[in-house]
Amino acid sequence: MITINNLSFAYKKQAPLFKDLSLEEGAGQIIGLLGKNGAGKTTLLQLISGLLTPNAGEITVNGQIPIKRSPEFLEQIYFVPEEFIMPTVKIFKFVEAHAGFYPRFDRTLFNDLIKQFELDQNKVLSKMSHGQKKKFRIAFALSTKCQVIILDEPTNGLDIPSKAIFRQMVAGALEDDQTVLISTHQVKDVETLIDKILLVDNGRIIFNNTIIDLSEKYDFKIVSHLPEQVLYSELNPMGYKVVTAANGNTSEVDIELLFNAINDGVKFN
Amino acid sequence: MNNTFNINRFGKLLKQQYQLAGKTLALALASIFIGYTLILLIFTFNNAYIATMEWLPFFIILNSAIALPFAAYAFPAFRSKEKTFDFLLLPCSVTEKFTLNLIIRIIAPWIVLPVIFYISSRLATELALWYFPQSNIEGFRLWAIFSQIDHDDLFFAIVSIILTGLIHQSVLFTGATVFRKQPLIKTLLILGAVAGIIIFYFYIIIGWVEIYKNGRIPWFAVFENNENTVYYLIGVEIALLITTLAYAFYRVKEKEIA
Repeated sequence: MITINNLSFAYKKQAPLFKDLSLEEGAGQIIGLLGKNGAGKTTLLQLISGLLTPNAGEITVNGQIPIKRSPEFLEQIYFVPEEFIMPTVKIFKFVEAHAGFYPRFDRTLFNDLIKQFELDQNKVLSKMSHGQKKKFRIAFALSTKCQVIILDEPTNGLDIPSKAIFRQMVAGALEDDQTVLISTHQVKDVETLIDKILLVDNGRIIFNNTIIDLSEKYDFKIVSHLPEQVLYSELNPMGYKVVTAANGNTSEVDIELLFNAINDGVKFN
Repeated sequence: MNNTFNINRFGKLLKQQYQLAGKTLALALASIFIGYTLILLIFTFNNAYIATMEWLPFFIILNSAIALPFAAYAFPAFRSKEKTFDFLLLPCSVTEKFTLNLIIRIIAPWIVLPVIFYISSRLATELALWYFPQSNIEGFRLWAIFSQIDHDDLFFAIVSIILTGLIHQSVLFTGATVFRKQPLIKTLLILGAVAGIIIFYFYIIIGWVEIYKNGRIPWFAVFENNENTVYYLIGVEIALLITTLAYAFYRVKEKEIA
């Protein structure tokens, strides 16, 4: 459970990034954190993981205050940042050195994930490509079975087959008490994965809804001619991508279209 | 769960250090041994007579040259944002992470470096005696050096030496928690500035204001010709040591990614 109450935060000598931001998210979800560049997605993730101190307000993760960085809290959270440096050790050595800190670490799952990503356990981490390192970090993160897993731009640097494997992995490796927070610009990569969308803009959460709810209430489709009752439309080589109120059927949510519609001022209830 | 210090978790942290940095550490120790031996070989091969006391400058200079920069680069994760990120999120308490660095960067050199110096000096002595059998070289023996100090002063001498070394290390160690890049140089610059201010202060009050004139007694005169001065100095040194380490702990505890 992640609870944020009236969070305010500003970097030194900069305008406030968040002002009175509140949020409550239960366990067992894959949440997509979306927003424009500089909206504060990474900062919000760093605040949730205790890497930054809020100027005001309170954050709790499973009842723990992140900034205290108690081992009990740190055992429950794993953060895969966008950029990282890996030590000059082989994969198996890294796992030996770190797995013990995570009580629920699943070595069988790790071996399986590494196999799926086609990584060699005897390869030296620092000598791997960025994409390979990222695959390793994602596999390690999922294997920790931490209750909160944070992935910041996880698909950056992954090739096309790996992106598909990534989606399968995240969907398949999670327990009911785990929450995954994914921050990304590349919404297409996580479209079929996430349960919920959080949209951050100007220091506020401007949209917070589940994919199921959206797909029941709205139609996301491509049409050759613009219908009359359209909430939002975009030109498309095949005609128009449109969002309309649902006509009783559910449709697959086009997150990119949704994102653009919200940024255009369309209100989704 | 003990969130302050757990011996099992600390054991895992030690094991992790060994697994991640064991090879680098072994290489560093081997390099130090080779470096010490080469320098001491030059010393023994160029002197037909060496008394035990003559090893002392080498002992102090070589060990300080290694131990002080080593302390100044404590918390290596703080040198980059990415590594700081992983350091802060490693599931161990601040006390455990701090203690590990304290042991590796401050305490361990007091044991490891003298041992390496002793082995290197013995090797250099034996090789010199083998090559120049007529030379008269006394081996390095730390206790033989201490035995030259007056017995009554020995305890204070040893305590003072250890405290002085620890203070130097702890100041540089603290610098490593404050400065991200070039912590050694930046800490030395700050120390230089502080020393400059102190020297300037005494110059002003003694030389310029002529504080001793007209029978006036400055505040520091309490230390002059006082048999308790050594206790005051040791007390000041202990206070300084605790203060610098406490500040370093605070810096690590309050560390953020920004």
